[in-house]
Order: sequence, then structure tokens, then C-alpha cells
Amino acid sequence: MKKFNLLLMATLLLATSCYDRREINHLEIVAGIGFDLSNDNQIEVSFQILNAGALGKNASGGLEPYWILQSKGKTTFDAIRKATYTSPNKLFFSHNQVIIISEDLAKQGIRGIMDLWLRDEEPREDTKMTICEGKAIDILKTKLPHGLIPAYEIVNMIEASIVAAYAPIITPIDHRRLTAANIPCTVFGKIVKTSETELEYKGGALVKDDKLVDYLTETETRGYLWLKCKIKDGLIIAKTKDSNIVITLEIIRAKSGFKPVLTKNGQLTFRARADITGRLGEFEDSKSIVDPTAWPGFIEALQETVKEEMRAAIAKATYNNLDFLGLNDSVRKYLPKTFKQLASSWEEIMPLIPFTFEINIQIIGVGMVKKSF
Amino acid sequence: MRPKEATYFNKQILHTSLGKNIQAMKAIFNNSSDCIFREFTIAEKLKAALIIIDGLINKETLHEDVIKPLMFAYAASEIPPKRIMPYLQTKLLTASEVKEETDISKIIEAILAGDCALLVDNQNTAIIISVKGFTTRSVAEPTAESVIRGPREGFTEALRTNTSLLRRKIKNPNLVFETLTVGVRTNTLVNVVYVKGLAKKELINEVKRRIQAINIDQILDAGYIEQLIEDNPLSIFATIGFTEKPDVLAAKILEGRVGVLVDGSPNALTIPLLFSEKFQTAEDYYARPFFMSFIRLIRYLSFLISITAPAYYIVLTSFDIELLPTPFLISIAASTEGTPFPAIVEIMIMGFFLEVLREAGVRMPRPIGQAVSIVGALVIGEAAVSAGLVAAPLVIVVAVTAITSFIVPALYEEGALLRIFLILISAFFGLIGLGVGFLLLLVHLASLRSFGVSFMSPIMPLEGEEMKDTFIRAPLWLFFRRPKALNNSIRLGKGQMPKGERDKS
Repeated sequence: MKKFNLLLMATLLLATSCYDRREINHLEIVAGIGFDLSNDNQIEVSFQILNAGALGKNASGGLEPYWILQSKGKTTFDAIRKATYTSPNKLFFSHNQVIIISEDLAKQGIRGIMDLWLRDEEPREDTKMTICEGKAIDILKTKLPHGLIPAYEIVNMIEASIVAAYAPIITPIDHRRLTAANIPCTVFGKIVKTSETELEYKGGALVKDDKLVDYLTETETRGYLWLKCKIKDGLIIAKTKDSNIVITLEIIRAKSGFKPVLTKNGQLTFRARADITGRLGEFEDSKSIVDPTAWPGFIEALQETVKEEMRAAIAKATYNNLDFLGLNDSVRKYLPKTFKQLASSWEEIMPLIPFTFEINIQIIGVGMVKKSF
Repeated sequence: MRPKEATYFNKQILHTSLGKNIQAMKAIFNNSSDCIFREFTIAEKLKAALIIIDGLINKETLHEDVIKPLMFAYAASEIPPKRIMPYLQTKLLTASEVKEETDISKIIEAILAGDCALLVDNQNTAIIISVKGFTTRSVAEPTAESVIRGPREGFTEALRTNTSLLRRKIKNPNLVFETLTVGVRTNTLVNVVYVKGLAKKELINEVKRRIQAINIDQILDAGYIEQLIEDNPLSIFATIGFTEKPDVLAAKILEGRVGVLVDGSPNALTIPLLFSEKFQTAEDYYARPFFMSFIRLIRYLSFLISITAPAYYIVLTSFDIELLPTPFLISIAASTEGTPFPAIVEIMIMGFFLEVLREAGVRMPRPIGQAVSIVGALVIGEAAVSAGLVAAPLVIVVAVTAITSFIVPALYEEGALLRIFLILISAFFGLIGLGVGFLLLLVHLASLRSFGVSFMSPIMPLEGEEMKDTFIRAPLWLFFRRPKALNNSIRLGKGQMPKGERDKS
């Protein structure tokens, strides 16, 4: 009897029938997703799906390595599930790496998409998110001149943007973290289709309360990145005041940010600070190439550029109470007593709070150029 | 049920009449054609007979040391019959090993072992003269355990040759060979070998007890003994080691193990066996420690890969596809496109062919074996992929599995079975199944014992001191003590690390 029971239990194991098994060739691997607003105000989803048959070494020519599938529904999940109306297999989202949300939809709100992305187990929370001008499907349909799968090329493009530091990189989990603030604002990177075969990733799209409210220019975005300490690489371009020499500094290390402080007379101010270590990249002057730091007004010019960028962001943030810098939260965190006093009248006070700047620039090299004699 | 013992004889001791004795002997040997009865007279008076088995004796020795001295010993005719047997032994027979025997069964045993029996008329005793001499394979390099450095000689099928090979390694009176006879019909000689003082008494007694308890009619190889005395007959893991190299056996018994040599088998058993021994080779100790430590780590890693690689492939392509890096997924997706079977079936097909190929390569004569591997490589590696039967990455997985499994030959059998087990369990339960399967394996390993020693020692239970010779091979001058599980005595003097010229003063 004992043996029989054991046998029965062993047979039960077989009855699980490979409970979670799925074969790669029975899945449609989604590489990128675009969300649009349809004409009848539903959510329209476009999937860029890998065409495995066209990707192999001995794939027959003529087939595109990807195809685009579209479906729409009342909610995001509904739209995704309805994709199986036309898809030959179940869609598989774990290798989806980019989400592109169209302007129209973002203006209506992206809360549903964000929630689904963190709630469901298949999508990754480190998927890159971006907001586009125009339609998301157009971005996915762009025939980029390089790479097989445009979605993955877009991801590479987004990741490479860190070198220029003119656009933020946001994932669903970043967005979730940012929306925990008092005034939930997120700056998404902005993607624009500039021609049939070209995309551009720069600038920011400001989402407040999960709705797109405004765009940020490059300078404003740079200022935002300075104040949020998100610049690790990039260039600072400045022009000396008197002699109009253009300087390009390559950032090697940067630590930046801001902090609210109370001055002696009880005045609330924000102190913005940046410690930048850089290497001279270009110096448009034939003289003094070996030690341009001795040039009068050199450091000051660079400092001024950084300050300008910060100021641009601050101006945008304080205008209309678009607090994407998290000024409100920083006061709550560092000066809770002051915050309590100001909380009720924050909107009026915020534009009036002064900023002070402290920019330290250290130049550690002038490149491979040396004095020959 | 006991195997029925053979009846050699109907009488316990010899008769006084030579004729009757010869008749009895002939009956016992059933007139077998290789049993020769040489009747002659000693000094033209005394009737005598020699009984030998043709092929087991050295005819020259028999002729020169036995027949010739006896036939021409004219002085023997004056010896009274009572003193004739001692006289023959002390004065006439020039052979080196001679003894008197009256018990027929003992005489038969001696004849069958290659001695010759001298029967003399009117005497109820026989003289057993050692004239053994049979053709054996010469000492050659073992093919299964080849080394680049170190001794090349290997055991042969002849027990005496093997004991001599070992005695030449350990010139010490405490090296003891104890002879037991096993096999009701084959009467196979089994030697239990150990170094007195190093092997624990209980271990020696246990080995002897288990061998003596064997009741079987045939022992044709050491493998018979192994299977009849092992601790875990139902485990897939062998818990008794074997070696073909005298130097390896010497090393093991010098650590306090007991060896078993079986007549007719070139494999010596080593008892007890630890799991870590399966990853050791003789060369580990003969070459310098740095590279050998690296190689040993590679062996452990290879074994791990060889049992888990196909299971991981199934997990990654059928369950946790999100774990794959995207570019890798794309290439797998591209190559699995159009293959008809799920990954588990593909793996089973390829695994089956792998074992078939291996077996064919081993069993077939060498020229055909080569043909098998060429055809196999073509059929499996190339045709299966281009015909769209299996995906190309899977062929890589199977190839990696095969190569890594050859690195630890001592675990090949276990590895092949474990692989199938892990493939099945992960095909049903995915990564969780693989994890649980691996845990079950560890639990099983931890439960095994070999002759009173934990099989996983020194890993489970952990012996820090012995990690020097487990995953790595530390320099020889650090091996202070013998393994704790066997005999923890000191084997190395202090300060044996060479100091070069600094040592001169």
C-alpha cells in the first residue's frame, strides 16, 4: 500500500504537465511598445515584434526582422490582451525594452500604463520610457539605417544620451519613486521623429500628476539634470566674456544638487552647488594652449554657463508651480518646521525663494597637447 | 539459497595405493584434456605419478627440477619407504617451494592453482611442488588512467605480479597481503592489502568480514567483489574506488585505506572512497601544485556543468525566458524557428544520440570506432541542425555536456544518470524543479557512507584542514596529516618547505 501511494504521488508529479512551460517559437517577443490615443478616445497600442524567422543566419531574404501589430482597448491591459485577435501567438513582454507614449495620450494621463507596468509580472521595471511628439507608432515604424530591431536601437540611443547629458533617462520604477513626492512631477526624455530614417532623443517632457503639462528645452533639461545630480558625463560650452574665446570642457566627475537653508535672518534660500572635475576639450585660441586656465575669466565663464542652465530650470520650475525639481520636498525633508509654516501658502512663496549658487570647477588636464620648446 | 558446491572427491584423504589414487584423481578431474598424469618410476623401482594442469605450469622447471632429479636418483632405492617422502623433499627436488599434503581437496586446489602434485606408490601423502608458470599480459601502461608525469606501469590480471608491483613501491614489512578465497566454483584468490598501523583495525576486519560473507559461485573481476560489499547498493554513486595504477593504490593505502586485489582483475579496489577522490588523479600530486589546483577547480566546475547544462537550457528556453540577455534570446529564437519539437524532446533525442555514440565508440574495435565518431559528428552536429530537427544552440549545449563529462571519468556513469534526472525534473517544474532536484542530490550525497566514513567528507562535515587537498591541491609540504576520516596521524615533518640557499647554514 505504501508503495502504491508513493507511485500515486509520483504520477501526480507528471500531472503537472509542465505547468509554466512555453516554447520560444510559440511566443511573440515584443521589442518595443508605443501607446497612442485612438480617434474614439481608446488606448491604441503598437507592438514592435521580433520576426525570428528573418533574424537567423540562414534566414531567407526579403523578410523584415520585425513586424508591427496594433490593437486598441478601453484600458491598457485590455488593449494588450486584444492584440491576440490578430497575433498568431501570445505576446511576451519580458524583453520589451522601451515604452513610447504619444503626446495626446500623455496629456490625458499615463497612470494606467504605469500601474500595469509595475503590477504585472512579465514587463520589466527597468524598461526605458519616453514621450514623443506626434504618434508613437510612427516612431516604431521609423526605418533606422542601422541595427535590425529599431526598438533596441532606440534603447541604445537613449542609453547613449548620458554622454551628452541633455535628456533624462526614466524607467517605470523611477517614475513611481518620483510620484511619491508631494507634488508628483517626472521629467521624461523626449523623442522626436525628425525624418523617415532619423529619431532624436533630447529635451524633457514634464509630467505632473501623471499628465503631460509642458516640454523642457535642452537648457532647462540640463539645469534639471544638474540640480538632480544626474550628470556623469557631457560637455560644458562657454565663451569668455572679454575675448570671446569658446571653451569646451569635458566633464569627468560631477557632483551637484541643491539644499534649502535658513539664513541668519530667517530667510529661506536654496543653495545650489556643483563640484565639477573636467578636462579641457577644446580651446579656440592659438595661444596659451598649454595652460589655458591662466586665461582671465576662463573658470568664471564655465561657471556662468552652469549657472545659466540651472537658472533656466529653476525659472521653469517656479513658474506655474511645476515643481519638477522637488523644491517642496526638499524643504519638507530638511526644514520640516519651516515647511509647516509655509505649506498652506507654498504656491505663492515658491517663486520668491532666492537661489544662491556655488560652482566649483577643477580642471585636471589640458589633453595631449604640450609645449614643444 | 546457497549455490551448490562442487563435489571434487568422494574421499577425504589419499589412499596408499598409487593406482587407486590416480583413478580417483582422474575421476575428480573428469578426464579433462588439460589435466596430465605423468607416470614414471623413481630410480627404476618406485612407482610415482605427477599430476599437472597443462598451461599453468612452467614445463622447463618441471622437467629440470622435478622429473629429472627423480628419475635418475638411484640412491633413492636404498631409502626405506617410511623415510622416502622427507628424503625426496630434502635431497632430490630442487624446486624452491615444496610441501607435503594428504587432504585431497587441498591437493586439488594446488593443482588447479598451477602446482604439481607428486604421488608415490605406497604413500598416502603427496608432495606439492610449485612449478607455476603461465602466460600473462605484461605490465603495461593503463589506458584508463593515463598520465603525463608519474609512473606508467599498471596492474595486470595476475595477482602475484600485482602484489609484487605494490611491494616494490612500499618496501616495508608492515605491508600485508591477506589472502581469501571467494567463489564457490571459481575459487578466486582475493588479497586484502593494507599497511599495518595505518589502516584502522575495524576497517580491515570489516572489509574481511564482508568479503568472507560473500557466497557466490563466481568472481570474474574486482567488480563482483565491489558490488557485493558496497554500503549503498541502491545508490547511483559508487562508494568503492578502483584503480589500475600501483602508485595510486600505494598512495591510498599509505593514507590508511584498505586495498583489495582480485586475481584475474587489473583493477584494485580502494576502501573507503570519498566523493572528493573522484576528482583526483595521480598526476595532481606529481606535478607542481599551482596548475594542478586550477585544473582541479575546473574538474569540479566541469562536473557541475555536465550535469546541469541541458537542464539549464530547458529552464532558460522553456520557462524563464526573461532570464536570457536579449541578444542571446534573439539568436536562440532565430535558430529554434521552424524546429518541430519542444526543447525537452530535442534534448532527449540529442542526449540519446550522445550516449549511443559514446557506447559505440567504446565497444567497437578502434577502426570502426573512429568511423562511428565521424558519422556521429556529421549526423548529429551537422545534419540534425541543417535538417531543422534541432536548434543549433542545443547542439552546443550537448557538445559542452559531452566534453565536460569526459573530464571526470570516475563520475561519468553517475553524471549521465543525474543529467537525465535533472532534465526531467526541470522539464516539469522549471528552475524551481532544477533547484529542488539539486537539493535532493545534495541530501542523497550527504546520506551516503562508505565503510564507516561519510562519503562527502571532508566537505560535509567540513574539515578545514583537509580543504588543502579537496578543491585545490596545496603544496606537498603542507600535507601534515593523513585524512581525518581514515587515520589522522602525522605524515610530514615540520618545516619541509624548501628554503633554497637560505637553508645552507
